[in-house]
Amino acid sequence: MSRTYLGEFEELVLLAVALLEQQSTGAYGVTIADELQQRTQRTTSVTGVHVVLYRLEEKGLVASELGGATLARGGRRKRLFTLTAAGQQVLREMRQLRLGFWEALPTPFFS
Amino acid sequence: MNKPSPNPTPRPQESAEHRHSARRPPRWADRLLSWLTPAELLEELQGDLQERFAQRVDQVGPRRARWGYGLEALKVIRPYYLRRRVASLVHRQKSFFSKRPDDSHSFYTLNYPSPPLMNPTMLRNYVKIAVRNGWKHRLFSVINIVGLAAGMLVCLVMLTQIKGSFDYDDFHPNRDRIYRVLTDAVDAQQNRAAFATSPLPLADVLRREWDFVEQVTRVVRLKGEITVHHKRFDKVLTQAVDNGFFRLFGYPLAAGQAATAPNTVVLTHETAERFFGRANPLGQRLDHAEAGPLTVVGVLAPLPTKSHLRFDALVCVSLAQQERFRQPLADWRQYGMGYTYVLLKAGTPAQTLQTALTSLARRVVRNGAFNAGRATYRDERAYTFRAQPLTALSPSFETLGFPTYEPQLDGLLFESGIGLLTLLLAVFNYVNLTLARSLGRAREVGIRKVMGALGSQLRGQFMAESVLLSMLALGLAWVGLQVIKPMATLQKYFIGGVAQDGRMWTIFVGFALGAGLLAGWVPARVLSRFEPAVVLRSRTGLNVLRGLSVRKSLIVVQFTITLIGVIFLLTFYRQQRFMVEADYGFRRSGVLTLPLQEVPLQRLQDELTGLAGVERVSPTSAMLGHYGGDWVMLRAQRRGPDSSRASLVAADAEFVPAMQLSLLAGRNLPANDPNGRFVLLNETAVRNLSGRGPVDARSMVGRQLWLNDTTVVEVAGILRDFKFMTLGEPVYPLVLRQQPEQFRYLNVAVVPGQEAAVLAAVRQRWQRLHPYEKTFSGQWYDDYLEQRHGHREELNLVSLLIGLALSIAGLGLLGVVTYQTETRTKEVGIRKVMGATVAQVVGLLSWDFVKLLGLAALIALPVGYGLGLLLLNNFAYRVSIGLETLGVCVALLLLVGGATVGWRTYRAALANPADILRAE
Repeated sequence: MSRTYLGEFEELVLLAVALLEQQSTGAYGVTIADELQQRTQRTTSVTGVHVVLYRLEEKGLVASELGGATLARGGRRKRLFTLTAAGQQVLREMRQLRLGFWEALPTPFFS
Repeated sequence: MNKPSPNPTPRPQESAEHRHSARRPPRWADRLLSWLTPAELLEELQGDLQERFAQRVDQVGPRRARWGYGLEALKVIRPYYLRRRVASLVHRQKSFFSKRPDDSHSFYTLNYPSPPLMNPTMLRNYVKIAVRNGWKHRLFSVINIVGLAAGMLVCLVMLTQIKGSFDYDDFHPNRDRIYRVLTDAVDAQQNRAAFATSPLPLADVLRREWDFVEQVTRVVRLKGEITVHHKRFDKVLTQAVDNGFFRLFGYPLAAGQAATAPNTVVLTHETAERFFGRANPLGQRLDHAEAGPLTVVGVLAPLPTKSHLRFDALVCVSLAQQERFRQPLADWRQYGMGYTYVLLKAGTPAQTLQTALTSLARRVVRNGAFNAGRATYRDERAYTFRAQPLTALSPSFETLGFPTYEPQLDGLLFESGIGLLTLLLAVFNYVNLTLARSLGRAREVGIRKVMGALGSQLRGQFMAESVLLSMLALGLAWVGLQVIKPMATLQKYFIGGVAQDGRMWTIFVGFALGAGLLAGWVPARVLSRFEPAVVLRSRTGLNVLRGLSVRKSLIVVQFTITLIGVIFLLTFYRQQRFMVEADYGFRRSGVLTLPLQEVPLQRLQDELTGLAGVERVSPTSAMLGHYGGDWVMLRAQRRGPDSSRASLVAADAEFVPAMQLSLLAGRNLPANDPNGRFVLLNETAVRNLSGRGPVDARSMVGRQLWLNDTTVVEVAGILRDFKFMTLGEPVYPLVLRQQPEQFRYLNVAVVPGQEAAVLAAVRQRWQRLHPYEKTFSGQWYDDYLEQRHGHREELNLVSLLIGLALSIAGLGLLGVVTYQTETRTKEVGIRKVMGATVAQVVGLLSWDFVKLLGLAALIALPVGYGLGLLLLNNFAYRVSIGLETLGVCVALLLLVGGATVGWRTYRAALANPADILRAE
């Protein structure tokens, strides 16, 4: 199978989904955007995160379901995302790829 | 980073409600979101955004949170969502048209297929409901139709005019190959100015040098009167043309042939009738003051459409034989004398002509045409020529110097603006009334939605209803158009000579369609948005009136515009009455004027002087209260700087007493002074001649003056200033001089009380001296001023327009008042049971609307006042705008508004509470 191409932001979003789905809040637009903002110190727009999530869903890397309406959301449900097996696979491949590069680098490059 | 901080500085003056609204995301952003986001994604996205908004209100305060929310909403504009929408559309279409199971992967799946958009049964149902609804609320339907028809009527007139302006000169068979040569002049400061005229020598060069030119003609205006059978006719618009004119243009002939031989003339049929009555004009002789003796060879038929050229007579004459044209015919610098038209041979591109013209202009300029002497425009250094196609001549998109009579773009834009404004007022009404009645249809919408109607279908239904209504309105407007069609102003300026053909009808129907869609748009959107759960839940207390403030402001806008119009009209009217009735400073009642035609003046004068009841008889060269006489330069010395432009009017010694003018100093003109050695000046002339110093009328008497540095005259006396021109102009310097050859009118001053007898006697004498003349053309000065300044027809038209606007505004008010009182009937019933009087109830119900009308008046009065002043500024002598104007307007407003509001509220207040409350 040809490897799925992922952009940097897409990869980060995918990682955030992987991280957040373990937690009690779940992975949806706001939590993902907050997580990314906290870690990257970049302003992250919810709208942008949404688009990336939809794309990832179309590629079959994440799955979603609706649920968890709260008062702050005006009673609207959220779309909660979970990583699919394909998504896990892609993340693992990414990590392998990067590790391969790091190991090929001469050791004193970074302490 | 995200440490929760309390809301920073809650401002003390903020009310609790205000803070509350600030804690909500901006409404416009929500609306934007709901437009832009695909429906199935809206919930989650909006939820996320609101959740984040709530966080950010706590972190950075409501202001920045709202800002951030707006930005996020704007970011929905991105290609992904668009792509997704398109995909969903395609998907929906596929599921309609193919029976093939949808096995391809798609992120968009519909659970249920939508019903088809058009279904005959549903259409029948729509029509049935529309008709029943219209019939059930007859008053509202009539208000809507009449209001729309009123607005549409104005638009139909404008549309006719606009369509007509594109039809100008449609009847020339070769119109695609005809070009007019324009001149673009450039002066020393590089300013450009375009002229419709071109130099006279151009035509000869075009004819001689380029063989792609088939025909060339010049059109040059001739001055002077035409004499037919010893009868003088002035105001005959005479154009001199080259013999190619009739081969180039296709003006249709009713009789005879085209004027191609020198010294022949073709008349329009009106002019032929004016000159010769019923007699056959062909072969007749007439004399033109400039062109000499001419033979009538043809009569033109009425033009199929209007033409940019206007004329009463077309004279084919050799310009070279005219004194006035000899010099301009060889002078390339003078390009203001006439128009040049070119007919190209078939198949020649316009570019060929343009190239030729450009090179020709370059040659002319290089030959040093502009090196010396004064030319047409200020101080032009060069010019170029431009070929303007006849088909693109009307309407004129640029302002040309010395223009012909094609309609100008800005005028058309202004008029269509007025038309659209009127229509918009009517559309407001429709929107207003339909929304007000939406309560009655909310349940219908709810049930339709429950049965599975889509929003788009409901929108279609309501739009179709408004289109139906606007078609009915079109019919009514067309009937109205037929009624007002005979108005002369309308014919003259707007719709005369425009063919009512199929294209016209297409335009009308298309316009009505557009108006219907425009009017139906807002109601359709609002009505189709009703949530079934909300509208079906309760029988009463349905809150669909949130937009009430919008509706009220529409009423204010309508009445403001109307009121401004009324103030403007009234100012216009009062100024015109003033110009008709004002004291001009000369005697105007009991003075009869006769135009002098080839009658021995002395004989007529003698006969009339002898009549009983005639005080004095005095000939003049010009009517007072018109344009004044000929303009001359009046100089104290022949080459001195003390000069003044002055109007020269020929009169005799009887003139001053006959017109009751008063002499300030010196004597009247001497009784017998045929060479015109003596003149009378008015005060203004003296003031202008004596420069800045104090005016001493006495010292001026006996002084020598130069007229046009050719004639020396002596000042006999000084006249008190009187308004010898229209009141639009200040008093200019005036010179009265005895010049018997200039006399054109005879003024007969009549003893008061003898008017009828004198008129009869004068008429009899006149008839004896003018056996060929059918009508007596004498006129009382009062009647003349009335005819000259009382623009009845124009006033009628403007009144009609404002009447329409007023009725639209009144209908709108009526509709909203009716609705308002109907929804409050129960309240009225309870109040009456509790003991309220009719007067109290009327006051309660109408107070809201009285406030609205008051607001309209408050806005309209200053604006109208300002506009009125702008209008009046054009007149040197003018009326003031005071209580009499503004008071009448307010009274009109109170009358129309008060009657509407009072009538409806009074009826509501009279209702028996038992009838109203029984239903509960």
